[in-house]
Amino acid sequence: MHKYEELEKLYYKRKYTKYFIVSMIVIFSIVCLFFIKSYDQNEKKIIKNDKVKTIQKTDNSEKKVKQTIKATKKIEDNITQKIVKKEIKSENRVKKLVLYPIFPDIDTNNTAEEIKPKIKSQSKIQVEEKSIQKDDTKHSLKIVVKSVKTTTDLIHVFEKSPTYENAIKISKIYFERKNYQKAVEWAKKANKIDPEDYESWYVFAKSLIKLEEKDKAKKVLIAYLKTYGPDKNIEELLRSIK
Amino acid sequence: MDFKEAKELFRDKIDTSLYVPLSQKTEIDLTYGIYEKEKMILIFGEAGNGKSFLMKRIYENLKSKNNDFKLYFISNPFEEETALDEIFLLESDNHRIVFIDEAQILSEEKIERLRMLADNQSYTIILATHETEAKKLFAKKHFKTRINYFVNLQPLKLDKIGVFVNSKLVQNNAHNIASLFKKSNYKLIYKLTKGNLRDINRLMYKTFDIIDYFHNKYPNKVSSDKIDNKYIEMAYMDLKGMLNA
Repeated sequence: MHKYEELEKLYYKRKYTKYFIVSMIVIFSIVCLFFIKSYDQNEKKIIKNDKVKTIQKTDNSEKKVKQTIKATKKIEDNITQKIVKKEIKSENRVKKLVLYPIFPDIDTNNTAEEIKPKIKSQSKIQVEEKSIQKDDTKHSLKIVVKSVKTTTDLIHVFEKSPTYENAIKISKIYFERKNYQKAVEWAKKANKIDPEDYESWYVFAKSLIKLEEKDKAKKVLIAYLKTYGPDKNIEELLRSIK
Repeated sequence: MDFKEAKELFRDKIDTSLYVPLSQKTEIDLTYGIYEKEKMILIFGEAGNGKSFLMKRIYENLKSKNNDFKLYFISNPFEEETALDEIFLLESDNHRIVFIDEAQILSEEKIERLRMLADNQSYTIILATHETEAKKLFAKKHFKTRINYFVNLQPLKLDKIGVFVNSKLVQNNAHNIASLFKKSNYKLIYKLTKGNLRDINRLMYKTFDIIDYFHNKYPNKVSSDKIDNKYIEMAYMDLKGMLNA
């Protein structure tokens, strides 16, 4: 073979190895680029996921906060609604009282003397739950007074919010302390707010009985039964009056 | 002209008939300096940049013209030592112009004698030397001050490669082959030779030799309308001895 033919062979050999090396470099760099890109994308995804998680966390915490705010708002609304309802109720009661005065007009001022309270100082009296059993009437009259310091305090509370509950509570306390005149007075006040409830009638009648006004007490009880229908407690009290 | 004839145009020999005037300005400046009877002229540059060619060209130009100069050309001072000694003993009324190629071979003593000769008598001495040797001469201050004209020959730039190859072929009526060369060929030649004239000549010589071989043996393999870069690369490989490596 001639020298130049060998040279040509060598030339092609070198050329193809060159092409091979170049193509390998290109392929390798493409693969590297692909891996780098995929790695970058994975990293971005991880970062995105982390961000989403943190956002979700913050969202959840925000939601929780919102929920708690909503719950508190609801509670507040309920409370306000209740208060409003109560106020409306009390207003209605007052209106009803104006329209339907239930208690018969009884003059209690001359019938009984005001019984002085046994406890000299009305203040600073811690009253816990008590149940007073009245043997003579054979009725279980439960007078429950919760965390109330004094009748004056109760009166103050009543002045602020003149509710039936407060009025009847005061009436019961006076009855317990044997201040029947005051008990009558506060039973009247309670009756003005809610004439339908039997308790004001009941305390009122019992106080009259204590004040030796049995006939009047009877009239009152009969009047209740006539107006609002039969009631077990009222009927029993009525039967006990002889 | 065929490839066999074309290759002869690039044979590595100083033949002024094949000279391609790439830097006419340098040639004119040098000739002007000689006419002005400058004392010493130094032509320097890397090996193969055309120093000898340029000097021989000017020498032959001057020789062909009728003038009062007495001309001497020493192409190798080592081999032509006696001729050089004669120069020192030369007596003439005419202005003497001495061309000394490969001046780096000269001993320091001889260079000093030449300097003194140029300084005191009617002589113009033109030295051609390698760049590194020229730097050594420049280091000697007294010598440097005596040199009136410096010519630094640089390798060819890319745009001059085409001019050089094409001019050489066209000047010698090888138009058919000159037309085969394209820009990509010149680019490759420049890449492989870095513009060194001697290397270009050698590469072209070998390229034409290879093309001639394949043209004769496998006429269909060789393109008739262009020079395949394959042959230039093969020529370079052969010159570098890659086949035997």
